[in-house]
Amino acid sequence: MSDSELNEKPSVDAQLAALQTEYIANLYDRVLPVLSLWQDYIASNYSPELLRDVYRKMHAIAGTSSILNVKPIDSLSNEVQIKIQSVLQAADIDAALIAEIAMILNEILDVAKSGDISAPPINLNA
Amino acid sequence: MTASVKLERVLYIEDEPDIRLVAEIALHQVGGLNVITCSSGEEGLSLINDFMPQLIILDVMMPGMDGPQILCKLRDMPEFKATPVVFITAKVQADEVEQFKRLGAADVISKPFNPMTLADDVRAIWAACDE
Repeated sequence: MSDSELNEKPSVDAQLAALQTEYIANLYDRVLPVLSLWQDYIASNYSPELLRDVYRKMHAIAGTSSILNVKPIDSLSNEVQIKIQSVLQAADIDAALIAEIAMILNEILDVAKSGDISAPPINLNA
Repeated sequence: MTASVKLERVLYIEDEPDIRLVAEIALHQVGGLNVITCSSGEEGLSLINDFMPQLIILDVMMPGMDGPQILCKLRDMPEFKATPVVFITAKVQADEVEQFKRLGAADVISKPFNPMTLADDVRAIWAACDE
């Protein structure tokens, strides 16, 4: 990136704010495939490999949400990750835990679909 | 190795496009570093000889080659055998930091990183590599 390009760019605050807005606007499209993968996992009779795929996708959403300060999604996706880890480490399938994960995934989808997400400005000068 | 040399070139490998953009803002626009970001280990390794980064930042969990696997590849390349590598990962635990350091990482930065201080954090790791 050249200095002239740098000078023409909006402020750092404005760029980060725009990234945050765009991320929230596209969140539903990012979450939907995770729900689809989760359904594949259930249909597969609990394939650990598919569950690891769900985990990786939630991990990506959690990481991006945390950096872009999209706190409700950050919090819910971390909760899902912890529960998925419990499932992966358990010897047997815990139906209650599976139901909890499904519930949180649906909550994430609902929040993403609503677009009504409280996201404070990214931690500038925090 | 590093203290007398100013850190200028940083390679950051991260599969998430939004995080790459934030990192570019943080490291280049805020921190003044010359940064190349890549979406995969394969892409990073394909251009590393042209860019010759002085320090490499790796996301830990990525599809395909993950951060630790990329580090192993780097350590097999004579030019990058000693290049400081920093892992970046979410909600890192103390024992995980030690585990990553045992693998050969110079340090670990946890997500979420602060875009306003990321470059300073990276420079501090660069300076510590020479101590």
